[in-house]
Amino acid sequence: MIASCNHFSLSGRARLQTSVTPVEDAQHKCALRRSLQATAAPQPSTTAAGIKAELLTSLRDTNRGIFGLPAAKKNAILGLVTALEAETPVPSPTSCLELCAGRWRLLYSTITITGVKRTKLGLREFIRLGDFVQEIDTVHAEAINTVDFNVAQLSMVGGALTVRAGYEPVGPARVAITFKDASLRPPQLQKLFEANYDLLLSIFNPEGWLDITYLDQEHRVGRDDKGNVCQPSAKKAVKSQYSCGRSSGERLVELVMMKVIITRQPLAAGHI
Amino acid sequence: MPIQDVLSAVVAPVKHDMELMNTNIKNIVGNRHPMLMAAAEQIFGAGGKKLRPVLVFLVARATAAHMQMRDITDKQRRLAEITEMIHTASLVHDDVLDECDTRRGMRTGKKTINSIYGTRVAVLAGDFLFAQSSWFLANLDNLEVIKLISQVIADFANGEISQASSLFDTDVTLEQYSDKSFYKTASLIAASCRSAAVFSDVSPDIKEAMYAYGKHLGLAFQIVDDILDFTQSAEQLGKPQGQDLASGNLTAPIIFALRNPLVKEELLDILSSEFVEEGSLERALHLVQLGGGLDAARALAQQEGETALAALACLSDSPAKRSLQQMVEYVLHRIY
Repeated sequence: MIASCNHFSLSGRARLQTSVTPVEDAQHKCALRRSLQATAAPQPSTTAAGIKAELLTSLRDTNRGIFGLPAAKKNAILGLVTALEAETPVPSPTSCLELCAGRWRLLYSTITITGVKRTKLGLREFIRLGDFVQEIDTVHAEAINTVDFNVAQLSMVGGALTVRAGYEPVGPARVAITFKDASLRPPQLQKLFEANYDLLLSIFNPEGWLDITYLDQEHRVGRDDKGNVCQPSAKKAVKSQYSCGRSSGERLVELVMMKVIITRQPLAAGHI
Repeated sequence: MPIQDVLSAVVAPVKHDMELMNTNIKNIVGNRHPMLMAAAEQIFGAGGKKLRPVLVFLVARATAAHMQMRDITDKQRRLAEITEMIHTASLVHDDVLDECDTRRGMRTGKKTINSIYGTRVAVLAGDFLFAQSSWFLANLDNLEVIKLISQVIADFANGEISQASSLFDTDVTLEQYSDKSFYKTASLIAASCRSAAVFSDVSPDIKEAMYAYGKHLGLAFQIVDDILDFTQSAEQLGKPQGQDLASGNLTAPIIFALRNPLVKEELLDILSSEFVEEGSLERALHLVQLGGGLDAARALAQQEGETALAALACLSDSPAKRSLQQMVEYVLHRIY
């Protein structure tokens, strides 16, 4: 696939205008390729499919790892992820970013909310976390991340935190992410989280770099090597305990995402 | 003197008062709602030491003796019942919240109301006790006492909520712990001791002293409870060891241990991961001991006990006063 991209580049470049940026150029190549091939969706190899199946089984009942997992379990997951990354069918995903377009659902992340952070955000008894969903808009180079909440009151008020970020390819597999804005719906949730809004954002702020280390038609893995994920322009100095446990230079698994195929059928039981 | 004998000696001056109260209180509940009579027997039956009404009677008799009254008043008797009803109501509701099958610490394995009769009866029984005690309180016709005791019910709720909102908060200070302990435990004891003194018509400084006695005795009581959560085995406690810690409720022993650089880092690590690793709870219990947390907590309990004793100085001597002094020894004995 990559070879065929290069193959078209010469004839493509001859027809393109000189003002095209490298990114637009790459996207155009992808569009050309897709129009000429029956399907461009990357399939995992048999090996990858096998590793994926094992990984997905191991992620069952982990609740995205958000409330912590024993070290042995975390290492086992990491081992499978690393093995899967070695089998990625798309080694240079930033040249075909439309493959990332659409809706993704978080299956696992090394982001954790435990201890006093979990208490302060009311995530023990008052508020239940729902799905973490990411909508990637490749036309506007934006990612819209949504975290669903349920507030355990009389009428189980539902709400969401939405974080909008822009992305820009800065390497064959790397995108730079800039925070744009965040909002809480409904307004009542704003009041609830007021005191800890900085904490909330420091956990869910995607600002920094992301390497797309595995990509196929259904699943995606990303790793970041950010140090402090807290928003640099925050008015208050955010305490170090809120830096989500990441240290600079440490490459952690950021996301294991699954593409949400919008169908009319409900998800099967036991689905992660 | 063996501790059972200490307790008997402490209760001796008010033994008859307690017997009268026990009969009366069961009737209060059962007469109004016969359906609750069986529950009343379960709630107020033999088993608990009923230290709170004992304290009310002791303060009543000690202050009455000080004022050279002939006997304690009916209002003081009613006050003892009110105190026990409020305390029991909170226990009944607590058991529902904790989904307990057996009341903690009962070696006989006394079953809880909710396990025998179901959650609904338990909640209603608790509500009934709170409501009935409020009615009796109002009928005591003393605004000072009404305010003192009503404040307690609000304090119970505040204590529970503030505990829930600071789980795993390793920045918790000793002062915050002390405030929470006051709301949970000492508030009722302090208010009821002061109220007992009110009905003996004592001077303001003796009322103040009885409040101080109840408050510091109550705090000592709570600190002892918190120490025992770390030190006692499952059979002794009536629940698994270290449950406070496991649920993120950080009490005196660990607050002190976190000040010790020897164990601080590892404890913070374990706490922030919420004991997700196998054996981490046991490790934390060991670290608290190693870091001197238990010793420091014992010293704090001892200190509170001494403050309580000092508050009794203003009272003239009497058997009841001597019992109040011995009560401090009794409360502290379990930590040694």
